[in-house]
Amino acid sequence: MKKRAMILCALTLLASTVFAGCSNSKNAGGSSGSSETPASASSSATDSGAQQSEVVSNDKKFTIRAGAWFLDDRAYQVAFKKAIEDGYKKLYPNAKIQWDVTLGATYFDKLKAQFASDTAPDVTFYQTLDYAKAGNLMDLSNEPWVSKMSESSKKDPTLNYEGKIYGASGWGYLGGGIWYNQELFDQLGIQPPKTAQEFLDACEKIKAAGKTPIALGFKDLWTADMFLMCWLQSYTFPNDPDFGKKLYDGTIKFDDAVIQKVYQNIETMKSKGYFNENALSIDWPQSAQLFASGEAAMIVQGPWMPASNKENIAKGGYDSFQIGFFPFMDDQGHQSLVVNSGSGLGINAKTKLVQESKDLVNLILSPEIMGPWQEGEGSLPTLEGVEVKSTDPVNDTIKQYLDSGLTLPYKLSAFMPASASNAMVDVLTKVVSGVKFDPSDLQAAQNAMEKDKATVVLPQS
Amino acid sequence: MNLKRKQVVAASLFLVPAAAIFLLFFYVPFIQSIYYSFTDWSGIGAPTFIGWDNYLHVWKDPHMTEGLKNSLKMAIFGLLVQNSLALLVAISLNRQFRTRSFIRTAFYLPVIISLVVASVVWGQMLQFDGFINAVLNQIGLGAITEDWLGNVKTSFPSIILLTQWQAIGYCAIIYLAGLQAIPKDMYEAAEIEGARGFSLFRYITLPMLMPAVSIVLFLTVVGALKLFDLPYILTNGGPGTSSYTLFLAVYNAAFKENNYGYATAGGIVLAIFIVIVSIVQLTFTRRKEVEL
Repeated sequence: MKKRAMILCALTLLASTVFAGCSNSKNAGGSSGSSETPASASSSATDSGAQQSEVVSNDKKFTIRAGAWFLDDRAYQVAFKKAIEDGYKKLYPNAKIQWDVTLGATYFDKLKAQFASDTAPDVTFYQTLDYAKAGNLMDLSNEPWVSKMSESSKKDPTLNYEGKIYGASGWGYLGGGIWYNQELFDQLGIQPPKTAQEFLDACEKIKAAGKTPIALGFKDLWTADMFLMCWLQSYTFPNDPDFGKKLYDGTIKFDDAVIQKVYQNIETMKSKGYFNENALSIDWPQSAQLFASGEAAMIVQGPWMPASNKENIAKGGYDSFQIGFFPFMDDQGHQSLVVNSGSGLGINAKTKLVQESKDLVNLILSPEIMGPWQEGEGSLPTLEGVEVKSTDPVNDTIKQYLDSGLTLPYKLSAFMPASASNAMVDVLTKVVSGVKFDPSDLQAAQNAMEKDKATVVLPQS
Repeated sequence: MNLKRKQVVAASLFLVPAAAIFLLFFYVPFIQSIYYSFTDWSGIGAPTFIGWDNYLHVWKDPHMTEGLKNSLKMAIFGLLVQNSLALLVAISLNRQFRTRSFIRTAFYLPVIISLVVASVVWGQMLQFDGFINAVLNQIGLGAITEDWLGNVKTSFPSIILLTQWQAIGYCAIIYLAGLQAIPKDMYEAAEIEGARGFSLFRYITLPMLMPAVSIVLFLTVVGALKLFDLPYILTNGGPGTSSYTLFLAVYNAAFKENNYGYATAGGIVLAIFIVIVSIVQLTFTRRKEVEL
């Protein structure tokens, strides 16, 4: 009797293990869109958005999931979420938006697993078109907002794959450039430089005045990537619009003279002491402190810098100054800026709530929701009708550069796999640590390119 | 069904849940990972079979090759320096002196501190304007101040030295336990025979301590080859590739470059490497072990 009970117990354990292993999140309420009325059951059987709208009744009860990695508790983010929820309530009074938010890069690991297990959110922000390549995202080329996208956005490598649009350009980010302390520049009689030599001369003047010309925070490697790619941008595309494509197909190699020239400039800057001594062991917030305190005259960062700098000055009790901006430049004075979304707003190809998801995306892209949010993000408008108010005079300067120079929706790194751009950053950090630039070090990037070429989703140039 | 057979059946049934979990979460993923190591896979979509390409690229990729070299340097340093120092500390701590308990605690204390927390603190201290350089400036050694983690020559040696802060105390405790297990009468007998000082160490202590030596060497070598947290937090492998370890290279290939197939190949190379080194080391040290 006792043994029978033991056997029964073991069998029960086995069965529960098997059932636990085989169960999926559909039973746990984790499916992509859940609906509680027969109306939605019929709607989930259809794939076409047009057909869907015929059977959808707006008073149906359902939960739609929306995913993002940036919706934190900053005021404009909270307001953004609330505006979306309120707006969606007007469209679907009985619907509920379930936010699937994991802050930071962990979100992308989670999203990968969710797409692989068919549990991804119905609507999600994303950063790579690999999802479109894998069939995880819905083709949105025929959505009404596509016609409102700027021409540059339509070519954005995060949104466009093989000529089809898979995501909405939520916002337009300036890919980075040089922010400077305008007061300090005025005191030293320095004008925003137009050529690489003028830039080096400006650094020399700043150093002679006892200040650090450029604050680097390369412990955060993305800042090193931004520095390198922004400078390469101005050396490459203005002189050869196909530089990226040629690098991709091997016509141009990674040890090309133009690429070497950028590394040589950086080597010169290092040897002359134009960077902070702790460039490789501090992160970007620490480098931003150096800039805000007035110890450093320039910093290479993204569009969040004006707002971030004001906050740093207020927190640190430093003397306030007006921030200025200029892009990197080549020897002849050519410059190119990157404006892209860097991320898109897409719809899960397997969502059961097709029309509801399209309506949600449409709502998020409306001027009254997108405008204030982009203002908070320091973003540039990429959709017709969306106005972003700017109060900082530096935004006018940026606009002038955008209008006068070559603005592209992609960086050079869009034409290479992550392994190759990381190998290029390795060479950069080596040079910034004081090692003499050796062109043969770029062979690692070339090898990585040759090995991982197939993973590159080429931008539409 | 006789009694013995029934017992076997019952025992097997009890084992099935654990075996199923082990199979599902260990063996199946392991076998799958062998397949993935022959593919080009970003973690999104279907993997593409590419044969031996990943394994061939491991030997061309500076992250992996530099990581392998650094891991070996770390292992050699662990075997020669860390191990000797730990033994020396253990022998000292095994003697009778007034503050013995306090010193023993002090040596072991770093082990209970989280390596991540320690890394952040050490990172701050080793910065160019950090504590270490401030001390060097104060004692007139300003000329040798350095951004210790931002220089290709000093970044990995700094990391090796930081590992010693915890490792020596940990290994010393194992040696101490081994030393205390040696019967006192063996020393007494040897002394009666005329053995003194280094002879006692060579002919009694060392042979009797060999089981502890085997364990410490094994832990040192495997720990060195698995080194990840310190370089990940302090330098992320840089500047350049100067402070990469094999484990960090595998991690970055997977989670920074989304190169899961390649990272899996690197992981398998690392595993094979650890197995080979461990077998060689254990074979060598086991031969030297003596039993009472």
